[in-house]
Amino acid sequence: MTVQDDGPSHELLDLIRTIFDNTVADGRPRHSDQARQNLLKVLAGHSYAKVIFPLCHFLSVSAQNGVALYHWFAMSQPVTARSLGQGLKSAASTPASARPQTIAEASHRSQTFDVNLFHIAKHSALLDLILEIIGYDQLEAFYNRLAKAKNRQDVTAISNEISREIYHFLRNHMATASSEKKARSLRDFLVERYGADHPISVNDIDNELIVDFWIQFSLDADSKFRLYTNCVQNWVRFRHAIRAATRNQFQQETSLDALSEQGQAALDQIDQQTAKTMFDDASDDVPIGSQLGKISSAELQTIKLVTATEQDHIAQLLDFGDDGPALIVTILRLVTFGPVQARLIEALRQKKNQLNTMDGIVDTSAYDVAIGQIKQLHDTLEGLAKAATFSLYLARSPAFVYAALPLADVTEQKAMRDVGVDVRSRLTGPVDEQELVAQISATLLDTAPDVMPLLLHRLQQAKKKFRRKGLGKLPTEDVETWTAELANGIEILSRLAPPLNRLVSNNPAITTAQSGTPSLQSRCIADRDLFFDHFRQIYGQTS
Amino acid sequence: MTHHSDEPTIGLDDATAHFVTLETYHQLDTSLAAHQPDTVRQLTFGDLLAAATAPDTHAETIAKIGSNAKQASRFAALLRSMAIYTQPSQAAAASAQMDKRTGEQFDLELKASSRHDGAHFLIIRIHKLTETTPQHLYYCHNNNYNFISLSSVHNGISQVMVGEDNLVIDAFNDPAAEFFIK
Repeated sequence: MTVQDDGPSHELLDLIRTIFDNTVADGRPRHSDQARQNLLKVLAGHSYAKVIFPLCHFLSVSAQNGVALYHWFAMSQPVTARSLGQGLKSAASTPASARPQTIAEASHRSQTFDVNLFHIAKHSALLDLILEIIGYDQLEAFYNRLAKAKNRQDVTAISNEISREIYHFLRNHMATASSEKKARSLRDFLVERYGADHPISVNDIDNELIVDFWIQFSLDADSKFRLYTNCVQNWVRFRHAIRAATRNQFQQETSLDALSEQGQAALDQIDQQTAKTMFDDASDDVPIGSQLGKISSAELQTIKLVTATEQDHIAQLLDFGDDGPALIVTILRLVTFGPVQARLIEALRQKKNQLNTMDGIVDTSAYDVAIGQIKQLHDTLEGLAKAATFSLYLARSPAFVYAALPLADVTEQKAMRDVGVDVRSRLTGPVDEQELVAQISATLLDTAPDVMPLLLHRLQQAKKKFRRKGLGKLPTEDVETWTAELANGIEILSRLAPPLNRLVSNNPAITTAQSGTPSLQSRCIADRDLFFDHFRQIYGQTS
Repeated sequence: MTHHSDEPTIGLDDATAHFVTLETYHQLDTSLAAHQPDTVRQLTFGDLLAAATAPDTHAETIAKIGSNAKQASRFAALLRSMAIYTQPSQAAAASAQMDKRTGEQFDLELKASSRHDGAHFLIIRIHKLTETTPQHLYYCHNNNYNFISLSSVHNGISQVMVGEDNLVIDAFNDPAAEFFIK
C-alpha cells in the first residue's frame, strides 16, 4: 500500500463518491445532503469516534432485535429517522413501544438507553464508509458482538475497535501533513508577531498582517505562500478557525444520556451551530457558496441569471464570509494585484518580458473601481431578483407573492398582508389552508397594480434593465421547471446580495480610508509600489 | 496590537488545530468536486449486494469477487447473512467422490443421468421450508463463487440438471466447499 503524502487518496475519494452517488430503488439519493456534509466534517475533524459510539448503540439495538446487518445497507427508502424506525419496528421482537419511531429504546440488562434515530440518519454516510473500509465480514463480526453486549462498556469497547480500524485506514488515506505544515507557518508567524502566549482573536489577523506575511514568505520559491491569493485564502481560513475555536462547539460532548426527545432538539442545535461556526454554513445547513452554484448557467435549464464572470467574482467575495467587511482592504488588494501576479506567472511561463506585463495595468483609481464593481455586483443580484419576480407576476404564479414580499417596503408589505386579512374575513366557512393561500395569491395578483403600484414599477424597471434568458417572454413549454427555477433563483439571489452589500455599505474600514489622507487612491498608489516592488523581487525583475 | 473588547480570544494551539480541520475539509471538498482521474473502480458493498441479489446479471462482478481474497471473504459473509439456508464445509470425506452432502438445513445429492449422456441431476432437499422462495444455489469452491438458478421447490425438493463440466460438480465433491441458498 502506498502511503498518501498529501490530502485524500484516490481510493478514499472513490469510496466517498460512491457513497454520495448511492441511490435507492426509485432513484432518490440514499443519503441526505446533511448526512453527506456530516461525513466530510467528521473526517476532516477526526471526530468519527464520537459518532461511531451512538452508531454502535443503534447497531446494538438492531442486532438485539434480530435485524440482519445487510438490511441497513439495502434499504428501499432513503435513510431517514423514520425509515430507520420502520426498519427496527418491522423486525422488533419486543412489543411495539409507545415512543415515537424516531427514538429507539433498548436495554442492556439493567441499563436502558435511547437511540436518537435523527442523529443516526444524519450520519448514515459515515456508517456506509465504515462498511466499505472494514468490510461486511468484519462489520458483521462486530455486529454479532453488539448483539451480545451486556452493558455500555461492551459497546464502548466495540466502538473503540471500529474507531481504531477507521483511524488506521485514514492514516494511510487522508494525510494532513501538508495542512499541518501550512498551519505551522501561520502559527509561527503569529508567535513571532505577538508572542507564544498571546491569546489570539480574529482582529489580530488584519490587512497588514496578511500582506506582511506574504512579503516574508513569497520570496522562497518552494513556499506554498508565493501567491498573494493563497496567503489571503489561508489567513481568512485561520480567522474562521479562530471563530470556531472561540465558540468551542466542536468539542462539545454529546452524551448518550441526552439522546432523549429533549436531547434531540439539543443535538440538532449543536449540529447546526457547529456547522455554522466550523464550516460557515447558513442556518439551514446549506453553505452559501453551494447556493451560488445552483444558479450557475450550467445548472439552470430554462433561465440564465448570473454570468460565469459574475459567478467567479461573487464566489471570491463570498469566501471571506463574515470576515469580508473587516478585510475589505485585503479584498481590494486581492482583486487588484491577484490578477497582476497571475499574468506575471503566465509571462514567465511564456518567457515574455515581465516588466512590460506590469506596465500601466493598475490605475490609481483601481480601488475605487473595485468597490464600484462590488456595488454593481450587488445591484445586479438585486436587480435580477426583481426582474425574476416580475416574470413570476406576468406568469400569474402563486410564487410571486413569496418572492415579492421581501422586496416590498414596509407600507407595501402591510398592504399585501391587508389583502390576506381581507380574504380571510370574507370566508364563510372552514377552508383548507392550501386553498386559502391560493385565494390570497390570486387576489394579490389581481390587485397588485392598485395595492403595490410602486413595487410593480420597480420590478418592471428591473426587468427592462436586466435582460437575460428566460426573464423576457413567458415560456410556452416546461413552465413548471421555469417557475421553479425562477422561485429558487430569487431566493438564492436574495441570500447572496446582503453579504456583498455589507462589504461596501457603511463599512468603517472604507469610511476611515476615505475620510482623510490617505484616501483610497493614495492607498492604492502605496500598495501598487509595495506589490510591484515585491513582484520584481519574486520574479527577478529590476526596474 | 490591542484587542477589540468584543472579540473573544483563544490559545494559538487551539486555533491552529481548528485551522487544520478546516483546511482538511476544504481539501476533501475540492478534491471531490475535481475531475475524477480514470482510475480502476474498486468493488464496493453495492456491487457485492447486486451480485448476491441478481447473480444472473452480474457474472462479471462475481468473477471479480473471486479474484480478490478480501472481497471474496466479504461476499461470503454477505451471502451467509442473506442466505435462507446454508451448508458449511463438510468434514473431510474418506473418498474423493461423494454422492451426498448432508447439512442441518439442506442436503445435496448428485446423480448421474441414467442415459449416461454426461448429464447430472443435482437434488436439493430442504429440511424445513420457509415462506421465502429459494432462487439460487450459491457455492464457494477454491475461493471462487458461482451459482445456479433453482427450479421450483416441491415438497422441499428442487432438482437441477447440469452438464458434466459444470463447476458445481467439482464443488460438490470438495468437502471444503460451501453452499448457500437464497
